[in-house]
Amino acid sequence: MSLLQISEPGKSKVPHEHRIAVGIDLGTTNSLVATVRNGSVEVLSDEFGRLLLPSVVRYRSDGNAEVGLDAKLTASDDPSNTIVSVKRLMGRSLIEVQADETRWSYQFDQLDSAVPRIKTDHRSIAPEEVSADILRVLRERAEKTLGGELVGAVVTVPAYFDDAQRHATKHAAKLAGLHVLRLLNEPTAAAVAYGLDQTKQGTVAVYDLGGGTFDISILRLEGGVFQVLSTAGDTVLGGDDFDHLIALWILEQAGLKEQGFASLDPSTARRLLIQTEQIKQTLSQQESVSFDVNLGDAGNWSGELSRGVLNELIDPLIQKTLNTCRHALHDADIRASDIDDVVMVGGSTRVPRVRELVAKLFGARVRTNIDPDQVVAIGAAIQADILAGNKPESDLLLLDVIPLSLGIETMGGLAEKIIPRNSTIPVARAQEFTTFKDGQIAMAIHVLQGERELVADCRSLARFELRGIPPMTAGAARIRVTFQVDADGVLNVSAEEKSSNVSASVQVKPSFGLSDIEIAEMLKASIQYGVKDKINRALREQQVEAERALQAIDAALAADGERLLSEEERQNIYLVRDELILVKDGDDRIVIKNTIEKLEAACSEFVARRMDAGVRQVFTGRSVKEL
Amino acid sequence: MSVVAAKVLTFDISIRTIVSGHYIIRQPFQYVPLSSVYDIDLTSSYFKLFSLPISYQLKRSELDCRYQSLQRQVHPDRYAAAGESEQLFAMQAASQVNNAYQTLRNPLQRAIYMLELAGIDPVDHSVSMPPDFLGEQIELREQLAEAPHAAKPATELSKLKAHADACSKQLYDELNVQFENQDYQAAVITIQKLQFFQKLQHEADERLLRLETQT
Repeated sequence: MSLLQISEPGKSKVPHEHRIAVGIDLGTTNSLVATVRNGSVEVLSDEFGRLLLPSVVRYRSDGNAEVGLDAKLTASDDPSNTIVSVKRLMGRSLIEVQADETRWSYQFDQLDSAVPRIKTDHRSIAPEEVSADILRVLRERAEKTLGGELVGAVVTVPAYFDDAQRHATKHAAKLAGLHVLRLLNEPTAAAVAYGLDQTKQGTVAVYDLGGGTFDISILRLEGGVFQVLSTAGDTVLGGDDFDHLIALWILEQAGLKEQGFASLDPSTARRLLIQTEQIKQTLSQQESVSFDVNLGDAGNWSGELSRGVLNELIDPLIQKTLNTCRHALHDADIRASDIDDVVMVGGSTRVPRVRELVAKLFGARVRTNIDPDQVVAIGAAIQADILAGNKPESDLLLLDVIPLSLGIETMGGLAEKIIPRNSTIPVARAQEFTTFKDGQIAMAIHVLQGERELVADCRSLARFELRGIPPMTAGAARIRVTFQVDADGVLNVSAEEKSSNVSASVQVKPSFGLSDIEIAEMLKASIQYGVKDKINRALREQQVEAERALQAIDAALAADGERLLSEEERQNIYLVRDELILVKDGDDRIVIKNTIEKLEAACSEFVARRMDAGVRQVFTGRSVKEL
Repeated sequence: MSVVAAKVLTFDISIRTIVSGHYIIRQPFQYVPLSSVYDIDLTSSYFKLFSLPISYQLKRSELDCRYQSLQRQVHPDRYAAAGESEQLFAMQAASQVNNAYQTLRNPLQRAIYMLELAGIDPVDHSVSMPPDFLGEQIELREQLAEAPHAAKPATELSKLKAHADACSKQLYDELNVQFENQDYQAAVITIQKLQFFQKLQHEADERLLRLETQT
């Protein structure tokens, strides 16, 4: 922490060096890592030349994690310890997960934690940890190939991911030791990838049908600016559902409709789904396919599936995606005929029927020239290269929107929207609320996400309380609630009573997300599994941070302490400062960290005043034109 | 146990409160030479921010062009490698630019904002609407309610929407003249009329979308 050290304008210039940054597509089925090297984009492969890393993790009984193809191949032998489609669990509550139609081949622990924890033979595991294990493999792959430490990564998420799911993804990256430069919406990344070769102007629809999620985004491209006009999607619809439908059809043909999918033992079910995936892929190349499947106790069944029958099976699902497209067009306030181009993303867009119906809806050419499995990672890598500062002359700018409205609960269980969906981010909005009862001295701020009117139908993101409101008659207090969404789509909420200046704020952590203790424990666990010196390093870093904080505060107090603070305010800061001096040489980094945070909190008003004063100084006597 | 928020009728939009918020600066300032994010004056009017004259008439292409160049200057992605205080200021500036753009590009929001700038309350409900206008609105709402039961609901809804579009267009032309003449009292009434039509258009749209996605 260094407190606002204002340097001379134009003096500090970082010398140029190439900083290694990667783009990561953390997919439901497969994950990829790409980078920009010598001016061109490259998807990085493992030592066997494979680009796709199956998003599958198997936890062995000794606690070791096996990630990727090996885990996928042995999945049917050990379904309860092999985690597939973990992306569908990210940022979701146990109740939501259990209500999901997906048939999970692994078990969940019924613990106190609001986060679903997956039961494996070794221990119970949070979805964030599984994703982190996938990300770690990709990070190591990149570091090995590129020969250096990464400055950061752009990690992609479905545009429709809500705040909780974005938070979970960020946590996973943190656990994997990755610095997230930006979370990027997958469709936006795809559009960036196509912008690589062509200078485009026009309106583009990005249709992204992956293994487990569907997204549609309407983008406007103009002079190097990519502006998302609207996004919509479905977090539980994808190519996996096609496989599932084929499996159900086979069961029906085999006379097992009554018993259904649930009657199969887990490894048979898993094997069947792998086979139906292959059947689907084959039908993208040829008109019909003959096959032989093992149905466990029910023996083998062989038959033939034609593309026509497959189309009939999957048409309702494709129609569902087309309806979502219509909603996105409605939100963007344009017609299907206004779309100049359709970009296809995700392996499931290889299905001919999908291409056919999408082209028909938009009446436009459907772009498939970049591999639909790689296009997102490629776009993310381009953006990572820019954000790492390797392309200062770059003209590319991404303007993203938030996918769902944000608001708070008001009296009567109603949701009051403060930021409407599809607002371009970053965005800040403030709205005033008031007290409901005479003498009310606290107010519960319940942060919500969603489009519905009733609180019960929206997703609860966080709750916090504003205390210390001076007692007044009902309706007299003026409480300003401010929502700020940053460029990653992550939300900060603050509330302030205007007459007394009492305030409270939170960085929104999802109600059902991991608690701080859980996160700390997970971080600790990941350190324990690593080398011991990482612990020392973490402690040392914290001590350095404490030194830096002390130096900064001393310098700031010497410069502006008298001018900007009252005697009492100064004393408060000194109290915490002395406490930090006491604890900083101890060996408990958590204590040090907490004390630093305490000092930061004690100084927040001071910092704000210095910033105001600093900004005022810069502006005084100068108009915008002069500068 | 405390009580959740209660709504108040007036609200305003500003990001300035955040500056006095709870942020801690971790890095020394690093000014980007030439085009600094601090060149943006967050306290100026939306028109000034976009270097446009305060006028109801504006060229959409000019607004879009200014918006893009402002975003290029202030978007947080431009400061991904800069200090945190600069990133914070960039986020605030970009937020302000976004708010301004959303307000200016929407002709109704722009009109309301201009009245606010002129010190007039744009949602003054004491203003009484002409009775024949209200009568017409009641009739249109009845048509809207009956449209889904018509033989060709989509055609009915489209017709209604086209009518609302035509009326709105005429009202916007009137608004233009009213702002030119600084006839703000007349503008308040026109704005309220437009809000009636906007609601009608919106509901007709929703019903059309529902029809389309039912199949």
